[in-house]
Amino acid sequence: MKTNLRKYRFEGGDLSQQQLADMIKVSRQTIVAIERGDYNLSVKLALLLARKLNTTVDELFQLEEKDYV
Amino acid sequence: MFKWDKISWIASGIFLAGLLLGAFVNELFLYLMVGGFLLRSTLLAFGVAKIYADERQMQIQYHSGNIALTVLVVAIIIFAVKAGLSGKQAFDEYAMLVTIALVAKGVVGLVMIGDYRAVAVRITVIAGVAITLFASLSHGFSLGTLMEASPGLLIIIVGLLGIKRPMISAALLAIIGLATFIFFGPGGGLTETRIFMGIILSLPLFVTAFCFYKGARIEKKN
Repeated sequence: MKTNLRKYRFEGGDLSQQQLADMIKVSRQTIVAIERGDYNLSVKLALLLARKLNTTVDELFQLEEKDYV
Repeated sequence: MFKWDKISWIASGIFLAGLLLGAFVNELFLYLMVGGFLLRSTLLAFGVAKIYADERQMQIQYHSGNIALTVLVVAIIIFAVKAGLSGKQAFDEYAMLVTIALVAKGVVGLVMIGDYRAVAVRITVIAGVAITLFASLSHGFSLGTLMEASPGLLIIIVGLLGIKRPMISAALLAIIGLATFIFFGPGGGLTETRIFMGIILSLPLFVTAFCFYKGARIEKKN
């Protein structure tokens, strides 16, 4: 899964990972893992991130070729 | 990984109490330290302290718990083989520990599937068949076997009754569970066999009684 979280984090007010983590009440490591693509987050968390960054889930995350079974 | 929070304080308190009591009163209190160590993951597993962990941290807890169970079971088996090879008669104790771990995981896993009635039927039939087989293998085919297997057969019948009459099965299983708990319970002394039977028999019976009840309630609501 391709993630644009880092890009939108900077566009959404130059937020640090810790600031974004505090906004949605998760740990900084979770933000790191999402940005690295190491963690498949829940729909709820994806929606929360999209809302906080004033974008959509589709803009934040996209499936890659390898994700299609 | 976690911020220092309320659970950290309580866990540290339990850990320290175990350490001090273990050092100055009785070394058995050292086991309290395990409680301190497992407090957070146990609370999270029961959904009590969800505000203290995000979804990824919860996933890590579940994943590490599964790996820990496998490591524990393999370690017990290694100890059992080692004891067996050195001529010690410790097979029963090790087999009990492995059985308790697997029964607990199996029962909890089945309950979490969510189809309460189907799960309750499965658990009762598996438990009933296990008891019946155990009796048959112990004594061969005789009147004694039939007597010893009768609780197992009764549990199977009550479990199958639950397909049509879940509330009746729930009540009957709760009564049978209570009876086994009284029979194998702490009243007769805490021997290994009694603890083992309490966990592998009474616990599944109470769980299945709850499942039949919960399943019937949900179906009534829908």
